[in-house]
Amino acid sequence: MTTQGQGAEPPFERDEFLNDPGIIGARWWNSELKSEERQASRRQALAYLAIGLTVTAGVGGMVAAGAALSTKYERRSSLEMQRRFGWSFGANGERLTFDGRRVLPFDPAKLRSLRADCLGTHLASMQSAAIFDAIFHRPAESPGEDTGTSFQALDSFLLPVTTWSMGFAYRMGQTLARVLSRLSRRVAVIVDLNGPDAVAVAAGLADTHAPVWLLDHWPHPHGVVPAHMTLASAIFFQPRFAAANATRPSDAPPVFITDRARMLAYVDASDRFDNRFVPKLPAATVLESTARARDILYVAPSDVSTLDPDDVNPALVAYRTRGLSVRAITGHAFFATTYEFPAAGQDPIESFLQQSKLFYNGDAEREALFDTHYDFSNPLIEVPATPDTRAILWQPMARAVMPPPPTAAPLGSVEVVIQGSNTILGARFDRNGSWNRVSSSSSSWGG
Amino acid sequence: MAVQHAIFAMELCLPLTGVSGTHSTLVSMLREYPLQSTADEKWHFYERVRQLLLSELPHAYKGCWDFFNEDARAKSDFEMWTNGMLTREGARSGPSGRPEGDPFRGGANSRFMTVTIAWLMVQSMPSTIDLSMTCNIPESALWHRSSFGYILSRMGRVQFSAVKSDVFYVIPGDDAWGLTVEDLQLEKFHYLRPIQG
Repeated sequence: MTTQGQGAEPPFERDEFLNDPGIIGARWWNSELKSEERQASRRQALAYLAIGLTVTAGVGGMVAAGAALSTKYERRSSLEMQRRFGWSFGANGERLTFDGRRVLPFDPAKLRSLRADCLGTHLASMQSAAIFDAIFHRPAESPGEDTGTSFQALDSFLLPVTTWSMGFAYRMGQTLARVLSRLSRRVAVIVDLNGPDAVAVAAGLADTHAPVWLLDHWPHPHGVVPAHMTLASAIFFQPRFAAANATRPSDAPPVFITDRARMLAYVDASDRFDNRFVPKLPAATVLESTARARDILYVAPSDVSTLDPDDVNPALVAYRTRGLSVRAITGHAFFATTYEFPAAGQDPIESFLQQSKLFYNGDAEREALFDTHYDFSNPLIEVPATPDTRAILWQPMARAVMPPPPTAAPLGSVEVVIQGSNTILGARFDRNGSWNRVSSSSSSWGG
Repeated sequence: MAVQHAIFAMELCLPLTGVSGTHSTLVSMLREYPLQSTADEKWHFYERVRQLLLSELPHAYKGCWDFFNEDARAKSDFEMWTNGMLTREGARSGPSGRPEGDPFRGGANSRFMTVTIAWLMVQSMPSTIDLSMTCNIPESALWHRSSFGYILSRMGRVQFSAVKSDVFYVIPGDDAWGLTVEDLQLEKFHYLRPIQG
């Protein structure tokens, strides 16, 4: 089930409805997006007003405008601002939207053990999971400008959510666990799918692979990366991770979890909050020494032109250069020609998923080809014809990475309003901030 | 920065039979759907539609689908799809009689229904990007049944926080007003093409 943030009104409203013998139909509007657009238009108008205001004040010497006009804009690290002023920096009181199937009942007290259940105790030195810090974080300070909205900790918004895509990804993880266990090699897995799906694959692999989280971003109501959905997925799969921690061998190879949505487009000066990040993949030497893995399977989205994006390509190439074997696989490799539903039993995950079992290459018989297609010790002798041939043949190749334009904002940064030498008033995009209120009142100022 | 839009639309023309129950189910779903709904309820609505269309796809007669990632085009096309409903453009002006005979083989007594979905989406949202990738289908396969199936199979991944407005309609509302073979040959239905394969 999809849920809106707490206290949300249903956002879809029907404005047209026909019920004739010849045709029946309706149109709905998403009021949340409509209001977002209205507010965006207003902000744009305010920006134009602000330009006019500067000229007016210069001519007329308006004293009243002085305090607001002495402010300046600077970019700061988004995560640093969230740690200082709270996860919803610049957007206190705004809602998170959770899409997917809500799973009830949910005991919020279990959030207290979410981090421990998801991370386990293995490979602790490789974890880079700032995302979990956000849940109960309460800021020690407030921005200099009182926007009239109070801070509310993230834990009060979080819910377990599942989607069809997560179910598919979980089945993928289970299939991977099955086929990898047949190989007599320790294969580390890097899951580079959208956050909720990446978590689901790791949950499916949790009995055989120790989850290592590479998610150094926090959710935000305007976040470019929907990190709250990744947490919602982690909450849904929390029982699975917890159970696997108790039974998984202590020397299990790692499954690295990151979020492909970290690469989503962001337009500077938009009203989005840039919570993008670069995943900290371990160095090849660390993989070998700490995780004792020389074989790496990179799980990539099936519908991308380049399997390995620019921010992970150098690490994957470095693995290969060092002699590690790096292979790729995508969701195209996993499907089922017949339906087979695992028994739900007492498993809380199965009781909600209701999705059929997947096989590598479609069925149990053809699944055996995995050993040949992914023989990490030998190159392929002939090109197999499978739905995932492109991934089977993929190898990380060094390539020129296009540098960002000189005017581009640093990744994961937010423009803040600074008054005086270093007092942070708030986020520039905050529509409640006085820097917006000042410019909107310019019509009453003469020049 | 103003919100930039994209549009996704799909229309399928299916045999109207009293046997499958698809038409009556879709009509009931529309009649019973609440005035206000959450993204969750919206997802479930389209999930059911998606499953019904997937089950009917082997028998689909004609269809079309679109995805445009261009703001002006998205808005104008969405208006066009909406107007297709509001002006009752495709609907008959009178009953055609309840379907008889074998609708899968055609003939004078065959009746057809159309099911139309149009979503006005926000370009920058992950679901929109995901759907745009799904719809990146080679030109040679645009009208192939498997392409419709592929898109339908992945429509369930869409999160409705990315959908700003949606239109859904079924022709006819009453199964005695089904479209005939002659109706579908009218110029107003020329945008529907035979589904290959």
